[in-house]
Amino acid sequence: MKTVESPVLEVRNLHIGTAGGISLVRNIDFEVGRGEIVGIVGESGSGKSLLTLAVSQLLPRNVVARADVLKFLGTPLEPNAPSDLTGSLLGTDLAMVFQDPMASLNPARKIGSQMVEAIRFHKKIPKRLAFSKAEAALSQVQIQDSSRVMKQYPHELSGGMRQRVMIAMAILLEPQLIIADEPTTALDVRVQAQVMSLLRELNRELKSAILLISHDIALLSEVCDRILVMQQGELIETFVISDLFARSHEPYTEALIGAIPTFDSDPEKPLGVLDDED
Amino acid sequence: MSNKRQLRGFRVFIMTPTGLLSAIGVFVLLILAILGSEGFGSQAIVSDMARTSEGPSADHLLGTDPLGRDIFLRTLAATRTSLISAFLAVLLAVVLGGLWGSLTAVGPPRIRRLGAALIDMFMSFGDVLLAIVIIAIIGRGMQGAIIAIGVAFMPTFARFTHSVVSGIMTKDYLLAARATGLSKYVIFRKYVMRNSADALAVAGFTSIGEAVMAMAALSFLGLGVQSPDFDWGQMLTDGVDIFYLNTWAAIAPALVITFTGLTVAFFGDALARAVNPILWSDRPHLFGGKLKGLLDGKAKEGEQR
Repeated sequence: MKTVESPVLEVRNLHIGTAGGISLVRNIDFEVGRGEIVGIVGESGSGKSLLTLAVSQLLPRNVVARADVLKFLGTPLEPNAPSDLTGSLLGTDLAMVFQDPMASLNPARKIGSQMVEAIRFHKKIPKRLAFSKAEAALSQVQIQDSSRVMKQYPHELSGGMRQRVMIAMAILLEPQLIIADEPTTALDVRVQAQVMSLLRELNRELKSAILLISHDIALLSEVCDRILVMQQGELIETFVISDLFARSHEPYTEALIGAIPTFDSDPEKPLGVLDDED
Repeated sequence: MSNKRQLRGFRVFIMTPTGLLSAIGVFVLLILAILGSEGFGSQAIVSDMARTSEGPSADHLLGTDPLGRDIFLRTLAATRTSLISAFLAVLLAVVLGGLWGSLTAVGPPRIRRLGAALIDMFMSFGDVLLAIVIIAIIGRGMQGAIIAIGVAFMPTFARFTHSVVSGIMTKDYLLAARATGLSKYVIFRKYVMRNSADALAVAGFTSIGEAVMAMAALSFLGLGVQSPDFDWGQMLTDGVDIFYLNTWAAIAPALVITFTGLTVAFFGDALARAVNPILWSDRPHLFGGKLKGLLDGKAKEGEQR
């Protein structure tokens, strides 16, 4: 594993379970370095999303997390009881992009006022300045007519546009870490590619680290520096992206890689499937 | 963009027969309420002992009451008191019931259960029964009746808000708001309240009609508005006493109560339709296009046999 100097996020021995004692995620160790893009891949139910919720302190009430070390920018986080300190970290240095852009914007308010609210809540700056910042963020995510979009309601925008708005909201406060939980699952392939290259570009410009969650290893391999593989609540492998095809992996990872269709795949043969016995 | 949409909603509202008619009805009621109790001349309020309990005549279109006041004008003059008291009662119910329901729905599990049980308990009393109990506590009169009906309607709105807010609580945009680090108060005000406000407003408007009737019921029982103030319910009570002398003394207020109840309820329904695009009439229905063709085909087939 590559060791990283002063990581943005450091997780040592993280366990997540229900209040009733059922273990959901076990023994997680990883870190995200400054400006790094880290992907987490795994099948549904492997604990990817729980991991991000624990980091962003949004775990449901009946789920408990504990860790030997859970540090964000050197500040220890309390995954179960968000303190005021972490409340101010949320939204300023840590931003989230959710899975379903259709559902993650407040439908009753215009895009502009939602975006401005986030800035003005954390930094007491004049309204006009906040508006121009929000507009700039919208153009940064390649929304052409940003001043018009500011005045529109979420339902007037398409899914791809809404996800871009979500990303614009995430980068507004120039966070150190953006957590994107399956940001492209609800989008079609073309828009997926746009959103991915957008994330990559923002990472280059703003130097924010990105933690990208997906079940699609092909998608992750296009943008990530490192990939963590999760299976049934455990982190089974970590590898640098250059090693994707270079060395042998865990059987599960091999199976995930084998499931990527390429131009050389034999159209007659079925793609590799995962065997539960692995 | 959104202007076009609003215009569309407005057109849907106006184009339906009930929408148009109820809008006219509400307009008329508003004018009557603005004219108020003094706007219809002295015949409505000053007694004329020479002509008590008369039937309809050229002087008095619908006759007079036991104190010789013109029934027709008095009925119109009572509009303001009746509407204002109904409106205030509903406002009380919407604000308090809305807070009760929404705070219950956003609370921790124990509060949620307790609040829901309380709502159920209060709903098990009838509206009017609850109102009578409350009047027994705070005393009769217009103010007492308004508070009583407000409180009696509260559980209904609490239940309504509770279910609307419970739906909102599971939405992703709430999680997104928490991830932005917004405070609980801001999330409650700008995310929860904003998104439940339209449903609550429409429900409130619909129940103004019910409140008019509940107010009338309390006044009819002698618990509501006391003279010299007068509303439709009180006029109805007085009218029933002289039913055999001047039938209209009872029928006129009864008709107006019915009219107001229906008009406001229809207006509320039309409003609900206008703000919810799903209820606009341009959705697929079973009796057009393909199905109709299919039925026609069947019919022709039958004829050929």
